[in-house]
Amino acid sequence: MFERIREKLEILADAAKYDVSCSSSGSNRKNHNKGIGDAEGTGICHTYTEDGRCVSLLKILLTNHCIYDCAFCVSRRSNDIKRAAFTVDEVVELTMNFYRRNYIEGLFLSSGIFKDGDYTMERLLRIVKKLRVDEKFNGYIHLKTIPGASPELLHEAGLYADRMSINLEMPTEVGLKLLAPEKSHEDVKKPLDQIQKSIVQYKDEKALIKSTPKFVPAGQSTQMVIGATPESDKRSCIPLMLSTKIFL
Amino acid sequence: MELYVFDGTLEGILTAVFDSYERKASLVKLVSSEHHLPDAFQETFTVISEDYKAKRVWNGLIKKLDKEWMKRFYKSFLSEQPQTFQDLFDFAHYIFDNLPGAENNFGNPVVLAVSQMDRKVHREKHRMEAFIRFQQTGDGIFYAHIDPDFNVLPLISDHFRKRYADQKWIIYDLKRKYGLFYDLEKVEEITFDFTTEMSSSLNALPAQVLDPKEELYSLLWKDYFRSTNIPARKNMKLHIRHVPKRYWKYLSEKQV
Ligand code: SF4
Repeated sequence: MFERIREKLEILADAAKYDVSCSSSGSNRKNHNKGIGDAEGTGICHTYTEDGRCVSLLKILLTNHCIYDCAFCVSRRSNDIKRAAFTVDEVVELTMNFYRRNYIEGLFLSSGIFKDGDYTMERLLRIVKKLRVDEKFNGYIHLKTIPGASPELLHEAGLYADRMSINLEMPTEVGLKLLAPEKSHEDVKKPLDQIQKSIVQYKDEKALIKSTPKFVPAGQSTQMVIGATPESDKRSCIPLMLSTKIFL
Repeated sequence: MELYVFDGTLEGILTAVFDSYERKASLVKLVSSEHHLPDAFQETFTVISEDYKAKRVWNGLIKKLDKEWMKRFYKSFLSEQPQTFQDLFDFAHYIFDNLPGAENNFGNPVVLAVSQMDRKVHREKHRMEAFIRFQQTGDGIFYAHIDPDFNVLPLISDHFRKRYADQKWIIYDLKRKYGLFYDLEKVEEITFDFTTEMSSSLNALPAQVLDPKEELYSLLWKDYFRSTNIPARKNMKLHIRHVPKRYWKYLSEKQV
């Protein structure tokens, strides 16, 4: 029984590890409900990799199954690799048990797209909601949102995550068509606009109501891959944090 | 030169400062009884810790130092270093004997020594906050033991109480033979009588007292740690700078 979950973790941590973003700072979430954890101030590095990088988050994919075929992504459909998928409960339990043992500061969750955007996003939402509501988890959560997911789901997820970001594989429409023919640029951009809108909306609401929920306290970031399409700046495949940080 | 022997407590140092003014002592060497080797030819004065004397000195310091400096004073004391006891004694004299602001004179060797020791203790506190690894016992308590360079339990108590408000935990200092126990309400000091010598390595609790899931999660964590490595970029020098070898025993991911 150990073996199956070990294998899943191995596959889904490995698939997530080349992601560039690594931060659990900039959040200010106090433990106010006598639940567990706080993500105040800068994150703690609980350990360091043998190449000297800080490890503070459990960084995994929910699944590396994907219906798309983005050229740079190890999870792309056409790549011949082992596939796995966590259940919602498995991610929640793993996060809680790592956190309780003082291994990590929180969770960095992303996912390949199985079935469609909403189907996947709905599961990510269930995970963050379960962590915050059922487990009263106050640690750090960074969620990579899913292109093409509906605004309602994104808005709700934003209420629970400390940070939301989105993978924009290609900066332009042409690049996107070339590398991920199934995804339109609009699809990718939509969630980001949505986060931005919600933040604007949140600001408006705040003026009227005293305690609106925090919508993504640490802001959002976008990750782009530059270097594969004609517009590349010659460097090959450099992930760029195109940060649209909007701090509240 | 007079030799003052005190009991190793903070009250003791403060009382010694009080006594030295009362006795108009000029040069004092302060040693804790633990480090004192009786010498027939040296006259000694035994400091008896007294609350009201200690309070007078502490309040006197508060009048001249800001909160940050008071914390520094306390944290340096937790280093338990014989030289630091002397430094703190001399530092108190330096502060009382000079105009306000003397604490900013880092050209003075005791000012420098106290603030440097504060940094060291502070770093150790941070390391413990990062490197402590709990094991869950069968009765649901999260247990970790440590043997830090300095007496940092009083400094890390708040951090763990806030973070793990909904789980019972124990952090035990093997070197100083006391621990903290959080019972979901408050943190208390505890001591244990270990029948056998506890090994200072992390996975020290015998399997039969652990929660059945403990093995799984420590295994998964080890797996996870291994998977985060990018072998092509291995740089052990940098790695050891972040995690000095003497801390490896805490880290479950480092146990084979
Ligand atoms: S949609 Fe995401 S997970 Fe799927 S192939 Fe593209 S980048 Fe990879």
